Amino acid sequence: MRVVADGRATDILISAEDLALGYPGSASFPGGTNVIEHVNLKVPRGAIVSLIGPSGCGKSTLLKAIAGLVAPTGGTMTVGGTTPAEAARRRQVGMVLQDATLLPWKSALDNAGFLLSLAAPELGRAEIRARAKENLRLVGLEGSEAKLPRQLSGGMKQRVAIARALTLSPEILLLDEPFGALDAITREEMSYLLLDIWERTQKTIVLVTHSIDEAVLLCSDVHVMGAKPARIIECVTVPLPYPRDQHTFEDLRFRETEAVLREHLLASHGRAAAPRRAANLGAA
Amino acid sequence: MQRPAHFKILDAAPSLILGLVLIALWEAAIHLFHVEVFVVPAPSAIAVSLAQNAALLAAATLVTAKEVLVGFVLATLVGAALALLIVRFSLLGRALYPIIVLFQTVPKVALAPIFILWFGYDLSPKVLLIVVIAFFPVTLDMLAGLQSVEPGLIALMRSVGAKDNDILFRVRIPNALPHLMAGMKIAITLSVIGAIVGEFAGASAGLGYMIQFASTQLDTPLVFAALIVISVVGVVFYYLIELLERAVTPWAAKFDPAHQH
Repeated sequence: MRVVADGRATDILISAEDLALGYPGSASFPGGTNVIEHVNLKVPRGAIVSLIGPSGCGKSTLLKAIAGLVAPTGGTMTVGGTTPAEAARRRQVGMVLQDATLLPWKSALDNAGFLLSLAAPELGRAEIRARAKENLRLVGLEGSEAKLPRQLSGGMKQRVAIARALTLSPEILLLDEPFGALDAITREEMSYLLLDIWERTQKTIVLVTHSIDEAVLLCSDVHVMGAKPARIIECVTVPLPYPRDQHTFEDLRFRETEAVLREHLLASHGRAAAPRRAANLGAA
Repeated sequence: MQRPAHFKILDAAPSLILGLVLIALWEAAIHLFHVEVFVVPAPSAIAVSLAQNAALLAAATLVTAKEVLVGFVLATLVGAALALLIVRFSLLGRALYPIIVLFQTVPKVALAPIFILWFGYDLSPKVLLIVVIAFFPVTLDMLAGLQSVEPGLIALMRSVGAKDNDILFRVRIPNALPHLMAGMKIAITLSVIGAIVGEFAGASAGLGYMIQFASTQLDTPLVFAALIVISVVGVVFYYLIELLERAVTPWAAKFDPAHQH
């Protein structure tokens, strides 16, 4: 069992047991194929955790399964006590992708309200706009409501995408390499923004990344995934207190956790390719 | 997509000067080599013919412009409707698309005499010819626009319970508008060609009819004059579509100098 680093509420919001994900069998391809198998995952309510690993380790697929976009081919997954698809229909899950995927003809405000307007048209235009405006303020885009996506920078577009997910008022925020397309400084800024949003909203956040820095800076638990076969190798608890900020990088425990994660990731790669000598890893 | 944001006089100067030089060379060559006016008229002779036949040309322009406009509007409607049907009803789409592509390989110009046979000498055969010539680029571009929606966004929409119609009307169709406009620009030039070909095949009025009539009279300056008027009609229609494009899709990246990609 894992312990949440800062001792927040510990009931489990997202749970996977012996989960298998992949493509179900078809007439031309009986039996189907699994991208990931034997995944066990527990995400406590209010935690911010990440899935980290090399390309092809199935981390995005696992995130999509939590969002209800990919149905399990084996095992069980529950989100808030129900199936992921049902949780998504109840607007418990908001998702942010690597590309902001905004509608170019809609303002930042209408983009932020777009998914809610589909999910709950009965709320009415005024209410949806009010909620969207509130969430744009939360992501630091107050005053940019009327701007079109082409007038926004990459980081600002991604803020709108986060606001769009938050406007659904979900319990869980899923982010799939959300800052992958941004430059280093913007990335770091967005990390602080995410920490800020997490502090203020108490959402449960699951983040897919391949940046070790990002995972350690943001998360209480880091689930390390490996490819070939895709699986979860290890859950590393980050022993750093919140709130975290740019000084977190200076903490010795930051470096230590980073080294542990790097070791796990290299080991997973080593097993997939040539065997890696233990002596090389010991230095970490 | 292709044109700069601000069309400056200076940008036009080089082509304007080159055009004037070419016309001057043409004029000089005709006089230098004593070319007969019914073979190639000098620009000055064409200008005279334009002025002398202004009323005649204007009347013919009205006839042809009407054919172009009606045909083009119908071609756009048919083209866009086909694309929508193909995207919305996938079985129908799979059945329809190969047939449309196959039909596209038929030399449409060859259909003109048949349409004349069926519908006579007035507006309808020209309109029909324009539709069959011009609908295809509209269909193709509209299809590309309807289908070029980010799959991630569609997945997000589906996860909150969006239906096919939500995705079609709220994302696919608006997303297709800039593509539709691009297809319409191709369609308008094809529509002009369709009208002229239709008039060649059988007509009693219009610029195409005028060209045929003038060439049987060896009135080559009038042939050239009518050609110039046709070109002007084509250019005017083309820029009208550009205006429409700015009005309908002001959010598209085209006119934004700060656009980054």
